[in-house]
Amino acid sequence: MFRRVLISPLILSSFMLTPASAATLQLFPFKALGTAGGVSGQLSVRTLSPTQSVSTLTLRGLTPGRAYAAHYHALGKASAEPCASQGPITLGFPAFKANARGQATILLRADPARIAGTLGAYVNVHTASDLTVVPLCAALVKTGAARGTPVAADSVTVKVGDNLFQPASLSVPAGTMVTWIHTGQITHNVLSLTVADLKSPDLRPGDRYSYTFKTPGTYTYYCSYHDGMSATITVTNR
Amino acid sequence: MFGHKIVLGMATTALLGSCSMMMGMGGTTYTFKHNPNAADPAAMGKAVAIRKDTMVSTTLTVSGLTPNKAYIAHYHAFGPASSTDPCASNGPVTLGFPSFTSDASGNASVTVSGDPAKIAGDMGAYINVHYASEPSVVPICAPVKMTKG
Repeated sequence: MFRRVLISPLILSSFMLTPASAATLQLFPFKALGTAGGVSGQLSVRTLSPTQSVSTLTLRGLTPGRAYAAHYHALGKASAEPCASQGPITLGFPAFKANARGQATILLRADPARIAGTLGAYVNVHTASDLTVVPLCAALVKTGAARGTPVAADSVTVKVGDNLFQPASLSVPAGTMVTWIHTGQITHNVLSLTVADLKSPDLRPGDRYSYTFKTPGTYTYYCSYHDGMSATITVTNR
Repeated sequence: MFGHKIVLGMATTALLGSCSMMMGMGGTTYTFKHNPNAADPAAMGKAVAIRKDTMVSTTLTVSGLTPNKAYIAHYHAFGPASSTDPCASNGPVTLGFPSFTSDASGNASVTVSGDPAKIAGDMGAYINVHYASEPSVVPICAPVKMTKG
């Protein structure tokens, strides 16, 4: 049962953390499109101030050494589903190449107004040689969501360090999947006295464990191996 | 003095047989049992908890550890994984002993003094001794409270 939620170690880069509701950092997973297999990634959008944001793409499974382009797109008219809506480009990421392992990390600093609401409905990753080839897309607005209303990320991450959880306090809407990522050196686990199925196996460096909080409430969890290593997640109504 | 403690611990174990706890003027004694794993197969020992004024002082005296190896030990609350076997219940740490290192013979003794409220009832269900380098390895455990609630 544990194995279903233990995810293989991934490249972590800079996208640890986040109360999605805090509006300082939002995370959006990329989904693979078409026949692209093994390609994945995540977009993090950190809002530093009313006039400054940093978007970071962390990608893997790309063709090693291949050139790519990535853009924010506005929500188009072809579909209510952002990634299928064929909206116009609103902001471009710097051109980049995948490294020898098929990985890439790209940063873009921008005025948040340029990607606010439906102006930043989704991010596409294209091959540079043929922009019609789009192996990855990350939707920033939800299907059926009120247009122009940014939504919170459906997943957040918590660092499992030696010997602390970071952030120690987190607030997420119901239905959010929380993923604990082991960033330390020694074994830890994630357990709860009140939620029977919130129980990870032993986590070692690079391991991940995920749990989706469906019911509003305050949940305390802990590592059973270390003194004082506990944290709290508050689950709010959506 | 240290060897004296070991002898006392063994004597206590022999007297208690299968019983893991002994009440007396010298405090309450809990006997460590070996967990079902291969770590430190000869490890054994006891924990003696003595009330002193407003604090509880607990001394672990253990033998059969890996010589010169660093360990950590904690009181744990009753965890969610079992209601009748505290050592298998995976509870949170409620009171930590100072880190310690076994001597060249694999013996060690360590004491912690804490607020009794921290280990009252289900809050002090068992004491684990872990490898410091790999806390998921727990050679021995002393049950303190056998049933949750």
